[in-house]
Amino acid sequence: MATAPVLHPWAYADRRNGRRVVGVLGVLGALGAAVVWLALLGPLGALLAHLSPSAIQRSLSAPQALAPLVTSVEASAVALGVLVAAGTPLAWAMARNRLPAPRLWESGVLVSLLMPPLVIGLLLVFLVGPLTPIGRGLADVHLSASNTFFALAVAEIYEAAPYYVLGASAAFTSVEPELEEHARLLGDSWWRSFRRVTLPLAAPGLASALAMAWARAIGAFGAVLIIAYHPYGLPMQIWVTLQQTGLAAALPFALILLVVALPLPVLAYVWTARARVASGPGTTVGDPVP
Amino acid sequence: MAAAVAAAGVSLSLVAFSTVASASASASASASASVSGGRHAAAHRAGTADVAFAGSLLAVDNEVVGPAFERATGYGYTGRGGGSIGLSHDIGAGEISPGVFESVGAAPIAALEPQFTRWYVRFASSPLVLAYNPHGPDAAVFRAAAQGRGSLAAVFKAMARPGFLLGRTNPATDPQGQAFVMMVELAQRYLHLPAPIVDQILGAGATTGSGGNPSQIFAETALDSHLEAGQLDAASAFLSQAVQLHLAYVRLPAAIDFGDPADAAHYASAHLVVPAATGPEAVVHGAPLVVDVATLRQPSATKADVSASDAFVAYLLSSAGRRAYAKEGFTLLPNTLFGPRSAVPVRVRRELRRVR
Amino acid sequence: MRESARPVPRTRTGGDGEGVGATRVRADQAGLRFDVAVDRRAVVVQMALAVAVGECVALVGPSGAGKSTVLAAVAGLLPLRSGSVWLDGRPLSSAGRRPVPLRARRVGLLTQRPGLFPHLDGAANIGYSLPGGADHPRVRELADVLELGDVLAARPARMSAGQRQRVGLARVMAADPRALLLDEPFSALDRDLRDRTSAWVADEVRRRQVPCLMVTHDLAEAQRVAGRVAVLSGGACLQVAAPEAVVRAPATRAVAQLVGYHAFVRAELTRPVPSTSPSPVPPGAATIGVHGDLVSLMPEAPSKPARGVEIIGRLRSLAASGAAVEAFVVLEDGSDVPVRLPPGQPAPAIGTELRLLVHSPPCFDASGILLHGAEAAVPAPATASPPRRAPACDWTTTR
Repeated sequence: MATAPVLHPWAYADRRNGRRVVGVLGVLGALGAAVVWLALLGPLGALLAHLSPSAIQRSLSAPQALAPLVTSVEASAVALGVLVAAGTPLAWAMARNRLPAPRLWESGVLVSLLMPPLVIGLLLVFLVGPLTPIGRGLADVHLSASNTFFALAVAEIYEAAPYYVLGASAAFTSVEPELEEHARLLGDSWWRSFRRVTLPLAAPGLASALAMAWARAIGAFGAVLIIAYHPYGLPMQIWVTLQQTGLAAALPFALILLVVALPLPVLAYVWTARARVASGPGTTVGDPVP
Repeated sequence: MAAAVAAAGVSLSLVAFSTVASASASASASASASVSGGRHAAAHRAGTADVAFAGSLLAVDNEVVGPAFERATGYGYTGRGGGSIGLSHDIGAGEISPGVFESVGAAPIAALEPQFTRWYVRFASSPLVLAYNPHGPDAAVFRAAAQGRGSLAAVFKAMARPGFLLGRTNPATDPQGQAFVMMVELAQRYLHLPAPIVDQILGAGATTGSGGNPSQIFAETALDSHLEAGQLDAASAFLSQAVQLHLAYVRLPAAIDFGDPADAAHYASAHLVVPAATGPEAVVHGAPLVVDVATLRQPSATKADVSASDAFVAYLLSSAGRRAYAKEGFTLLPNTLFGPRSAVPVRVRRELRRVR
Repeated sequence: MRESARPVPRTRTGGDGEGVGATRVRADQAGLRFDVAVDRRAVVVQMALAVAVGECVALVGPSGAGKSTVLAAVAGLLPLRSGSVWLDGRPLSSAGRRPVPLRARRVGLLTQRPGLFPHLDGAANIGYSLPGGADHPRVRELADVLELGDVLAARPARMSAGQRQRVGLARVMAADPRALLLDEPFSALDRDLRDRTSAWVADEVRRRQVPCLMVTHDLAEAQRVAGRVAVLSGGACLQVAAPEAVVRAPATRAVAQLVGYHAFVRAELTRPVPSTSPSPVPPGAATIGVHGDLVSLMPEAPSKPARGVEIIGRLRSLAASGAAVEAFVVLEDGSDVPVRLPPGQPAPAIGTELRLLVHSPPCFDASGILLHGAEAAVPAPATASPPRRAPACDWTTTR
């Protein structure tokens, strides 16, 4: 929920300096936006340019060619489920300052965000390897965090968690606590006010965070490479195919990854934009600031 | 200090007539080399040797041979490691354009002939060993074998135990991963072990196309860290890796360690159906794990870069380069040329003559 | 705060023997009773008050006085430093104890920014607490009374400030609270709507028999709606009394300033009017307060006997004020007093020395505390025996 009214550069210029500056800023802004947009889309263009239908057919018609897709989707769904269940309360507690030493918690999340995924993978070996105490505990319940589906999900959770937690925390922060207090004074239990007020108002932000986490999870590679070489998800499949047969055979899987990973973020984005329009500019509380 | 200043001065003037990227890269590299190298530093020269090498050569090339080459010749050096087969694919597709390619096994270089090169020189081999976890449950068996007290057969029997944590690299992408599977095959015959032990160690169908037990397969980079973290009982390794990383390891007899070209015919008796996720299945026969090097013709390379590449291979094949390889755990072989002598750059040819 | 500083009894209090006419609101009685101290930005806001059912008490005071803080504390949104809050004989909060959760307090709070739910339309906001929500018949009733028919289907973002304020009020009233806490509830309404809405609120408070505590900065509004006024300043409650009593007998000079006393004149410079009567300024008085509404030019020939004191000032300037003319008179302490000139009289020249009649002025001792003198313009506490220090606010205060 973007609570602050988004000041369009054009509008800003209009208000401050009048028409002439509008033009200059507008052109510069549009130009910059176009450059960034093209730069971001560059790799996609290259991907499409180098894809040949025959290569796609060859890559995808092999037996078990789509198994990595299924693996990736399943593992990412598990990772997201865990994140929603465990990350949402943490995000809420961070947003509402309900944690002792809040800076410490935030730093913890930031550390996992800043750590290169490869390093996370290496450290996970020390943490959950089969011969560590945690690894032995897992073995007791017939789980292993080394080259298993479970390991893949764990690696994806680690790569995606900071994106979800920070995004969700920002979403909750944008909901003014006063609104929750009003709901409770009007007779709602905590949980009911969360469901009726907090969640609907945070929903667009939560959707964005979830979409981001989804993209991170399904595209996770660094930590996956270290602790979950098997079973192949899409990124691992791309890597192995690249190593084994080369670029032409690997690119179709990159396309699949894109096609699978993209719809959720796009939907979330569209929904967020619509929600923003529906509740108007700067309306979390719906009051003028006196 | 004076040398450093002089080198910096030279490098500034070089920018004018070389490509900006390579010149500035070599300038900074040579400047730092001349600072650390002191009075032994050779005069700076234009040109950078861009070297692609098998991942197992990363330490020896980037940390020993590369810097020594820069100091000795004044050329710049940049190195990149990767799976030999993957690198060969990247080079063939034009994704990367190194001037030198060092591969484990000749096949990745041969795949680039004749477009990029028509020759290669074999100068070392990289025998397989069994690295093991000194704190693992079967460490005593491994340690006894490593010290020559115990039997090697006991080691393989230990590895066949259910729940034994074995690590190896992907036979689909890595020559070491392929060699390891065939090494187990050879060991079964060599040590007169029961035939099913191969599948017991590697997982069902490891030699016939399934790839075996997938939980044993790790990325090259991940394998060492799992072993170092004590999360595997044993793992496939090159002798050089074991030496560089100070791993505990068991040396294998030459007849099964893929390190001796004299045993090539014997190695070839083992074979493996490469597991294929996407590509066509292929049968691979055992071959010595030798280190081959060649210069590659790159249309984009400047004349200076070409001479730097030639100089790097010449340095590699000189006694200084070979000593470095020996020290890092490689087995030296006589420099042996494969391909027409006429295709070999003069400087490299001179080095061949000198060692012979 | 001297008397109110004592701890509030948790059990039933004893008999009502405090004084004739004093109505003590007991712990087990209906109504809202609180005695709280709250930390707010390095200031401790402290107040004690009892609001009977059907009664509305206005909290007045300058901004930053702690009015909204008191409401928040009573509502349960702020932790208490000390003290407690009782509603209808039930403890809602007590310092150091777990307060009754917000949802069970049955306290209706309308904050200055009414805090409407931005994702719900007007009807859903009003009906938030009702089964069936927006479809509950009470939503329609409240919308009709508060003239909100147009905004039932609109999100808060599309409403005017006044509409938002009334939707907030309707939302609070719909929940059928047992106590009302209203923070500047009519501030965004124009005058007509404000009069209608405040009259409706006053009626509802009586009809529903709920206690109501209302923050306002407008004394006139307080007089219209509230039976009593509590004056707050700097986190402390200075006086609780009927609106007229606060104006006619402000407990301290500080209160006097807050309710419109412009000047304070030294007692020895005053003369009683009529001169033959005993002075309305009691012995021990240091100053008298001069209120713009309670001062006039001394009539040349008083048609009916005026009572008060005479002071001398010099005319500084004249200004038109509606149909009348207002004279600004400089007093001996240098302060300006606006004096309304009687109609039909020629204005005196600037610089003229004027005799002013101050009607029943409050008198303060040297420390600024009100002395109950002979003014007796308002019903003083029955036990008053001059000169006596007036009580400040206390939840046991008479009404």
